[in-house]
Amino acid sequence: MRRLLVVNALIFMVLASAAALAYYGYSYTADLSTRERALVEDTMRELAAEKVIGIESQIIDIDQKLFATIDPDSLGDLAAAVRAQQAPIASVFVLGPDLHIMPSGYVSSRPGDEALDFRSLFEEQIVPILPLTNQPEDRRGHQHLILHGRPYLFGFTRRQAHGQWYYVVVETDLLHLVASVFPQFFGPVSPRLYQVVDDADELVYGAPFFGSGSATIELRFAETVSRWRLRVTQRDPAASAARGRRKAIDLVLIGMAMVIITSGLGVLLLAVRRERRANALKSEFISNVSHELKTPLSIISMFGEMLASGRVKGPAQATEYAEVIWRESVRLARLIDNVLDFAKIERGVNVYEFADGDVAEVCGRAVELSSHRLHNAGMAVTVDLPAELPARLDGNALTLAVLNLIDNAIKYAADGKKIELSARASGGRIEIVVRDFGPGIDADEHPRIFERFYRARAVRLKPIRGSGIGLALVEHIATAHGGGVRVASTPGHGATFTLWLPAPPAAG
Amino acid sequence: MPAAVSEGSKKILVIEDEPDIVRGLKDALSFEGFAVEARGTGGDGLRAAGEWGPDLVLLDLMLPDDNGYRVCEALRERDPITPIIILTAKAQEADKVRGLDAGADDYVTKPFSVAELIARINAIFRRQSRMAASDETFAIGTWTVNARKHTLVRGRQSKRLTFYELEVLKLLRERADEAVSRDELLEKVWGIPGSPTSRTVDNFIVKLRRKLEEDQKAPRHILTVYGTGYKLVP
Repeated sequence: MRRLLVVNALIFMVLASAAALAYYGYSYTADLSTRERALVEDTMRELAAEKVIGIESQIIDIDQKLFATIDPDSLGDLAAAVRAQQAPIASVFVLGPDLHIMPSGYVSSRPGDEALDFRSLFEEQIVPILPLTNQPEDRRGHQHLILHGRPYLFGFTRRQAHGQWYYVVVETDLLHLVASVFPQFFGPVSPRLYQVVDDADELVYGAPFFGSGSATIELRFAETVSRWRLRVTQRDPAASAARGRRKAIDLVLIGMAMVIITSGLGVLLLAVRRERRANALKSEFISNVSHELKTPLSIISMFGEMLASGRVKGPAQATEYAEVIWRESVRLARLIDNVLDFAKIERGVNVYEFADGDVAEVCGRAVELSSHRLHNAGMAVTVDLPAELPARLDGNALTLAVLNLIDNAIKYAADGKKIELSARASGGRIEIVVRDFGPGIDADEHPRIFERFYRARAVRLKPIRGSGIGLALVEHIATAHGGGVRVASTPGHGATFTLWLPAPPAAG
Repeated sequence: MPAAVSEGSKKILVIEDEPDIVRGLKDALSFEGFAVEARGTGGDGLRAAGEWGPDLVLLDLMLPDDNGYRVCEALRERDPITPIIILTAKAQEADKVRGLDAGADDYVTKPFSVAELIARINAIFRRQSRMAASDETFAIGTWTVNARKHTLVRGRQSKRLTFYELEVLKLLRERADEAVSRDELLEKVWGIPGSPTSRTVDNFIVKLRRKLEEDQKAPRHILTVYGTGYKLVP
């Protein structure tokens, strides 16, 4: 009992350790990939910040330079000044304290009519919404607008000249930004992909990302084009797919390890259970056998003693006693033979001696040896044998097998009163059939009755003494002859055992 | 010359299912002059015991319909006095003790000697006849032993004594305060020197102590005299 507890405890501990290992393995790989991912994200974030700062700095630089250059007193040079910048500027406005465009205070890169239209647009719709008047002196401000579906970027500042405020507003050429600056910054040769998207998540620059399971970083152009965001992601879908594959492989390996451990334990458990069952059966067998041996011994001893001490009523009785002794000796001898043969099987030593023999003769001898027991049990056997049935066999072993089948019938099917023994050649085989008319055997027990030590339920309940090895022996002998044994039976209608061996190859 | 089986013959019930053994026992016992009845199952045996009222029961432990120990207990329950001798192939000490605990008076392992069995049966009957008349009661400590009823009584408590338990107590009482050797116990009570083994005597003493003593580890009435045997201090 204690050993069972120990085994169970061990199994539980092994399973628990395996589970713990699996858990740690999994969380380690998960951790690893998280850390990897975090690393990648950090790098990308830094990069994104770099790019954003770079781009914004460019814009801001240009704005600042212009702010510095422009002199409200000499606006006639405005155009030249702007051109001198060689910067992507769409237009420049210089506004007076009343927020009206000062004379010559407008330069535009747009063609003629468009420029004029834009000027009106600027004055009427844009100026009112730019936070010009509140702008701290000499400080730059930016506003990113969408007007009539078009984006505009204005950089502005407020200054004083001659005690009066004036405003400089620079319109960055966004088309140029997107078409030239962005490509510069987000070069094609990079393991990363870039996008610039607006508030509606529409693409301003870049191509749609696809197949990336890895992180995407977003950063807003906080100061200048504040309605746009920069998106960065890992370019190579193959790499992230590879990572995903690796993770999947890790999981599969861990899973397989768990499965192997669990099934290994399962196999162990089964083996342990089988061994325990075999041991239980074996000890039952030993107690059965010892009882089976002692009963005939007691009878022999008793009657022998009575004969020897003269406790007999007369010579007739003495003869009867002598017969009983003889009969029981035979029974004892047969049981001992069974046990010894069985012990040989257990040790794996099979001493079968094959020679040319006659199955009919074997059956006949078995019937002869059983005649006394049959008579005592009040049973009759009908025999149906051909004159001869040659085969290659071990005479003693095969006789023992048939004897065991007949004995079983006598032991367990005595109620049926009849046993039918027949042998015939049929389809390349020689079959020996022993049929009884006893209680029969449940179908679910048919495969088990040939197991060593196993005794059918029906006979276990009424202790008809048996060791459980008879049929196991029969099967072993049949198999050693290259054949087998099977049973057909329905409960209540007896049982038919068929022992078959291969027929000798046709002569000639 | 076989003894005659007559009206006054002792009746022996054999409960055994192996027909040859039954035959042998019947022949041997009737040769001795006993009247013998045999039954092959525990159920039939119990019924016959009730109806026929045997003077002794021979009981086999391996029966087709029941476990021999249970049959023994059932027999005891119905009749605390009739001697029961168990026959069986099992010879482990534990099995013997179990049999005696179930209420048997003796235990015979197969194969057994017919002469020995008959001697034991005769010994039992001799003792029985000697005590049949007496209505003896005697005291051991706070218990009262009733030899006819085979009981131990103390106030409202009443325990049964088996045949041999009573015989052991009686012998020890005859020699009260005197040590009786195991061999003497064997010979005088069981009637045969050398068997049952002296361990069986010890087992009986243990059973008696369990029934009589307050503290089995420190017995006050049935004392062990090391090197000799046992003595009773009433």
